[in-house]
Formats: sequence, structure tokens, C-alpha cells
Amino acid sequence: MSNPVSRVLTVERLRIEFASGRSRSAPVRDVSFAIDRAETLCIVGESGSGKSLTALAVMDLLPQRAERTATRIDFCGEDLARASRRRLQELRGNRVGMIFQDPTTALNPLYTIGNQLEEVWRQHRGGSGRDRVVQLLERVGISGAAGRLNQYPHQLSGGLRQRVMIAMALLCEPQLVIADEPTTALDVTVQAQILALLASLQREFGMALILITHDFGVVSQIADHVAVMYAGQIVETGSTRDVLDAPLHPYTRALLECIPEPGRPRLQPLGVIPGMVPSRITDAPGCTFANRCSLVSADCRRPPVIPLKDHGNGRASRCILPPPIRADALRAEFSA
Amino acid sequence: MTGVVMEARDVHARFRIGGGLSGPARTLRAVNGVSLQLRRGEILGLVGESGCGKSTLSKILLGLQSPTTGDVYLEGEPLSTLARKRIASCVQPVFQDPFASLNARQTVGEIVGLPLRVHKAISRADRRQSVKAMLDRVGIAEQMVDVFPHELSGGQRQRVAIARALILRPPIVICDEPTSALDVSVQAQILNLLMELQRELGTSYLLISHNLGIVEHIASRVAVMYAGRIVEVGETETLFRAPQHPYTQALLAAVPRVRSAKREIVDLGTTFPNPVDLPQGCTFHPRCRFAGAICRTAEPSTTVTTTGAIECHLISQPDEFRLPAAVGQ
Repeated sequence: MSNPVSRVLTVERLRIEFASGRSRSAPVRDVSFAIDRAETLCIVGESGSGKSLTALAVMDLLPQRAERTATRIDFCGEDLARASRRRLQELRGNRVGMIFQDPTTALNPLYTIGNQLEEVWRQHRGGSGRDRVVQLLERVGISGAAGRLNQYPHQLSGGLRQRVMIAMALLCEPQLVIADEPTTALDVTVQAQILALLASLQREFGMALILITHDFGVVSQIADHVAVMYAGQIVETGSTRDVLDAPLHPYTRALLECIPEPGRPRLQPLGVIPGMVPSRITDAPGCTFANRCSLVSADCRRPPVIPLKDHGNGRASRCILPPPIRADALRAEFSA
Repeated sequence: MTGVVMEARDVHARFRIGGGLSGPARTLRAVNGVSLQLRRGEILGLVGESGCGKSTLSKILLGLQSPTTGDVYLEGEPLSTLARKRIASCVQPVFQDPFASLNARQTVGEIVGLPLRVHKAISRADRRQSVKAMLDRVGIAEQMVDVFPHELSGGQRQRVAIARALILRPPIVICDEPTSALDVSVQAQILNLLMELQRELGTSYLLISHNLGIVEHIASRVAVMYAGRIVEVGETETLFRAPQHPYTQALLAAVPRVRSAKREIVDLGTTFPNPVDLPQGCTFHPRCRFAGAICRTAEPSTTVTTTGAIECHLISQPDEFRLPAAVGQ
């Protein structure tokens, strides 16, 4: 996509397995993506698609019984797949910031926010960093930040707590920020502010941002590139407008038809995807979406696993149908 | 589509908080003078940010909580004079979280049949038949009658909750965020089901949601709530095409849309008013970009339009804003 100097993170063939008793499941399979400086990549999918596990896996934050393998996890030239625990600890919160969905559980209720923010600075840079903390809290839109340092998380509203989380993630000017559903628990008005804030901080610091979300509206507003996940695999990837305006994969297409949006005829039935996301995911031959796909054929169920096929311009789709025929088939189907 | 099935007239809900060791007692105004009509056979959307009083209002309409002042009228009769069972047979809820709203110790059949049992509507044999028919209608297979809620997916549970709400064929159903716990593909199925059933049975819905896309898609009218008051109400298409109240404008602008590229966001600031200490005058004025002198002192009156009503000085007192002294202060 671009020259290797601006590349911040490359993940190749990430796989996550869980073993319980004799059964094994692999909720993340063959996931590869890359992100450059000052870019935003959205990983989007429904629950159970493996998007959060993927985010956690990058910084080795998976639950203990998870087994992670990858041919490459490269962060600014450093191999994270083989990095020591100590080295990862040095990177987390310092050069890689993390923002989680629920700021209520991610902040320690027994310490003031000033305490928690200063600890991050002390850990990675030394010294109290009080001035830096105040400066950053003001930057994320918390007015009277100096007076708020002595407040506990429960004294802040949800929006303010999420801002504190963002300030904490950005404190050490990271090269990469991984945000897992950072606005899902918030009102649209607060969400709009947080998204605008992330975008402006990104312009300022040039950080790369990986945003995990299930909301295609958020993707449309903030992402440069998008990866759509289904049942543990990336099924489609490309630049945001390409994917949202002309989706290649039947799953992306079907999902977009489910969303009530302006421009869709009011009061008419929304698109429906029959069936359910498979609950225990393993390596099955053929396409994982075959059982729910309206364009399924016998070939879709034959081995091997369908590869992610490159369509040029950074676009790829995990479907055996060639794009022109698929477009025609879909058009015929939607006019029927 | 004529006639009013339910009407709130100047409903207030106030709570006393504190008064113990935490300091002097204060009054929290959750609902602050709401008048709202639910018409027969319509889907009325109720939108607003968290803390605006949507859920308190829904509890009052369900008869689960009495208003401090004002009353709710069900088919013209005040709720305060009606028996609990009579209200329940006319107004049924569908709640947000189907993981919490179904009794974990009852089977699907028992859950859906309970309203019939309580209201002694029909005989035991007919009851089982009726439950099966209702479950079939919401897309739950017959063999699921004897399973427990934990064996169901989120979408299936919400279908069961809908079956329970509709089994008595109540004229009114209050849906409080019915799909916000669900994935978009499941959400679409539930919304389709709600639309079908509404058409089939002629039920009136009050649909409470913070998802404006959903409200725009299925509601015929929309009421916008802010700090315990309805600040704008109107027909869905008109309201979404040309919102009048500055709050409605900002709220609509904040919704991220799939089909539009990145755009400017109207900043409302962070300060949602504290319901213990509401601002003087128009409660929205501290966040309003048009706020003038009059907004800080006087409460706006209601302006009735051809399709709805708006509570804003900009609309009711436009002259106040033409004075250069008032604008931009």
C-alpha cells in the first residue's frame, strides 16, 4: 500500500484457538491486515465474528487458555509475536495505546483519575507528569482538568470517563491506538464528539488507529480502510467508500441491507440474513457463510477453505464468485 | 388512523433525593410537563439522549409508576382510576434486554401463556393452542415451547418477549429500546416482525429508541424529548427532512450515516443538564447555538404547526432574534 517507513503494524495469518476438553475451536483464522501512520482501519462485524479477539491478540492480551499463532506481527519493525512479556509491557500504554468499550470497568474505582493517569506516565517516562496529564485532559475536552485530577471514576459521566480513557491511551503519544467499541455505550451526541476528537488527535499526533466496531455508520464517518469479519475470518477488505458503496462479498452486501438508513423506503421490510452465526467455529471446508448466503452453489461447500482473493486497489473478498457475475446476480436478485 | 388511544396530559415525575447524611433533600425532575398523544394504529417514536426521562415516561404510561402531577388517559379514562389488571390488558411492554426480561425459571410456553392465565381469558386447552399459534406467528418453532430462555439466542428471546406482549392483543405496546441489545442482522428481523404485527393487529406502538435510523424507518410520528419535556413532535418524514428545533437538528446531525462520507459534526458540548438543577428559561439554551437573551429567562411556549408542535423561542418569538442586541449575545 505504501512505503515501509510509514507502516506501523503488519499482522499476517493470525490464528487464535481455544481448547476445552477434547474439542477445539478456532474463533480467529487466517486474519491479515496492515496499517500505516495517520491511518484509520475499522474492523467491523457482528458479535462472535472474532473482531475483539483480533484486537486483543496484537498486544498479547488474550485469555490464558487461548493459543495464538501468526506468521508475523510486526510493529514498527519489531516482531511482537516473539517479543518478551517485559518488552510488551513496555510497549503497552507507551507506544501502543488501548481504549476499551466500557470505561466503568477499565478504570480502577479506588484511585483518582489523576493517580491512574500519572501512573502511566511514571511507568513509562518517569517523573510525575502532572502537567502533561492536565494538558492532555484539556486536549480531550475535559474543562477544568486540574480540578478533576482528584475525582474518582464514579464522579464522572460516561462520556467523561471515556475521555479519560482516551487521554490515558494517548498520554505517551503512541504510534498505534487500538480502540475496541469506544463509543458503543454512549449517546450519539457524545459519540459524535469522541469520533471528532479521535480524528483531530490523529491529525495532530499522526497515530495509526485500529477501531473495532459493529456500527457501519461509525465506519463510514471515520475509517480510511475497513475489514469486514465473519465467523473468525476477514471476508472483505478495501477502502471505506469502496466497501460501503459497492460491496463485493455477499455477507457485506446482506449486512448493509439490514441497516435502517435514510434513502431506504420507509416502512418496508429490511433485508434479512437467514440462519445464525455459527456458535463454535472450526476449520470447515469451503465458505463459512455458505449456509446463509443467497448466492450459494455446490462449489461453495467444497474444500479447501476459500482464500481471500485480491481484486486490486487494496480490495479483497473471500468469495469464489468472480465480481462481475456476482454484481449481475445480485442486481437480478434485488430487482426480483 | 383516527382517535387517540392514550394521552399524557401535563405529566410530571419528581423524585426527592438526598435528605439524609448526604446533605439537604433536592428534587430531581425526570419528567417535566409532558403532554403526548398516541393515536390508534400508529407507531410513535420517542427519541432523546440518556437521562432525558424517556424511561420514566414509559413506566408512567405502563402504569408501573404514578406521575407526581398530571395524568395519563387510556381510551379517555384516567389511569389512576383503573385497576392494575385492566391497565395490563391494554398496555404491554417489550423491554430492551431480553436476557433480563424473561423469567429464567419458566419455559417459553409458561412465559407466553402467563398473561392468559392471569387474565383468565380462556380455558387451559385453548391456552396451549393460543400460545402455540402466537409463538408460530413470531417465528418460534413449536418444539421450543418447553425450553428455557437460556437455551435461546438474543433474537429468539426478544421474539418470545414480543409474543408475551401481544398474546392478549392489547391495543397498546410500549417498546423500550427493543433491539439495542441485538446485532444488526437480528435487529432487522425483529423490526420486520414488529412492523408486520403492527399492520396485522392494528396495535399502537410507542417505540422508545436512541437509534434514530430505526425510528425514521418504522415510526409514523416522532417525539423528541429533552430534559423531561417534549421539545418537538411531528410526522416522521417532515421531522427528519426539516427538523425545526435546534436540539432536533443537532441530534440528527450527530447520527453517523453509512451512505454519507465524513462530514462536519454539530458540537453540543458535553453538558447534558442536571435534572436536579435544570437551567432557567429554555432548558436547552446552554447548548444551543442560536440562544438569545429571551432563552435564558423565559420558558418557550408551544407552537402548533400543520404536522406537529415545537417548543422553541426561535419559532414562537422570531422577532426577539431579529434584534441585533439579542442575537449573538
